[in-house]
Amino acid sequence: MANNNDFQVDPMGLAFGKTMEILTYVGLAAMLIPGIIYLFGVRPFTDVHLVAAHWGEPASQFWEHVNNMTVHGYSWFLSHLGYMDMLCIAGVAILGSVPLFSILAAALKAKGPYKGLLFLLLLEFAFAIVKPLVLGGAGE
Amino acid sequence: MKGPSKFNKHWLVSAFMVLAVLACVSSIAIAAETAHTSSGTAWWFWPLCMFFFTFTIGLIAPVSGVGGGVLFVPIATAFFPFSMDFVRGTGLIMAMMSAFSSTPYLMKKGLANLKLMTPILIVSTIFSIIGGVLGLWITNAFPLGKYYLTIALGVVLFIIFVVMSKAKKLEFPEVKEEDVDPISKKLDITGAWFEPNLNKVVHYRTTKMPIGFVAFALVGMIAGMFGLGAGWANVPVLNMIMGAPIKVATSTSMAIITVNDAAACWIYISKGALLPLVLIPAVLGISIGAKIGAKIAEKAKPTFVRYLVMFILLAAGVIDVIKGLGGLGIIPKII
Repeated sequence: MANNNDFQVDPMGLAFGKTMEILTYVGLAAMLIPGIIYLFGVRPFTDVHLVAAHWGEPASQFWEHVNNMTVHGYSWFLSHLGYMDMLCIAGVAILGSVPLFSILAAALKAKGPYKGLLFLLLLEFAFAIVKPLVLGGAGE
Repeated sequence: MKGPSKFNKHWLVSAFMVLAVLACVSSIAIAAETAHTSSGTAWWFWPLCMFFFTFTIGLIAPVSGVGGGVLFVPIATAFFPFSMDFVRGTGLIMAMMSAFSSTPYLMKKGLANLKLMTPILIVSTIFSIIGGVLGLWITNAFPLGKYYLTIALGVVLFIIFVVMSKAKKLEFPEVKEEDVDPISKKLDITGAWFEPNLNKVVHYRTTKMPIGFVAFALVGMIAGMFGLGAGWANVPVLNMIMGAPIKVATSTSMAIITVNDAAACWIYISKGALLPLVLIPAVLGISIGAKIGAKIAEKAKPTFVRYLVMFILLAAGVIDVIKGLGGLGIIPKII
């Protein structure tokens, strides 16, 4: 007989949490390993001393001054993945995708109205990824 | 024997938190002092200070249910030499990491509720996108609007603080079955968790989903319109309006922040507002701190959580008012 102290954790929540836990480790490794190697001065796109000299400038000016480049969208780091600091940013992008897969994992376990609701949330999140390309920097 | 053991644990955790806060405050104070006395600090000095600072925030965030950005951005802007863009970018990733580090544990324990967060997130995300589009127009037509709104938010936070300090039963609000609204009933928004302080499983249900929708739509709209970040608003809405117990409200708020902040991080990536030299120590600090913080959150007394949330709301309110008045030029710009 079930007593009042018995309870079961929602399987959707468990799937969401488990997927988030695993992918967070993957994303953290993808960000931290090249990031720490970069701190030791290995294959930098931007030298650490140069970064420290300009880190007080707004982002757009910073990139113009240190690398003579204009940053917009995702190509600024995707086209330089051979460098440790840019690989680190790619790791951040992996982390930024973690909820997408966590929501998907929860949706696959969902029953009833939650199946539709979680797929709707999934679509909204996918839009958030392309939003900076479509709407610029609005809505942060 | 049980009493002294609990007592010791409580004091160990408290002493640890106090030491961490002291370490953080002293490192920032020394750092600020050094910056004034010497312009030639080594490049690793500020990143090291950043590590200790974010570690402390990581301890506090999961207990209070705020992402950490509300504390990080104003303090880092005031004491660290990084531009506002990099501080905000790092603050967002850091808040996201504290939420990522603690949410799986809180979900496993039954404290964070996916059923509760899903409908809320759908509404707040849609309104955040609408707010983003409106924000483009408003920023051009009414450039000082952001500062007026920041002051208004500060005042709202202060009102919430007063209401929370007077309200009763926030730790375990009572929601009777007949009071549950049709949407919450249809979605079966219920849950349970083992509360170590009561040594029993606490079952709960939430209500007033339609009012919750309106509140989260407003929060999403404002956050999207002005890029203010609104993790602080989750807890009072979930707890005081929808009747979620305070620990469920803070934990579910962390889960909401995982999705909100991850969605927002793409904007910072697209603007190049992230520097590994700032980001790596911040993420290491927050991740280690939040892992410990999530365990503290589970064991923390609900009354302690309530007071911590109230303190952060008050601090955030004061910071918002100072920031708004500074932006309007009424007082010197210090944040």
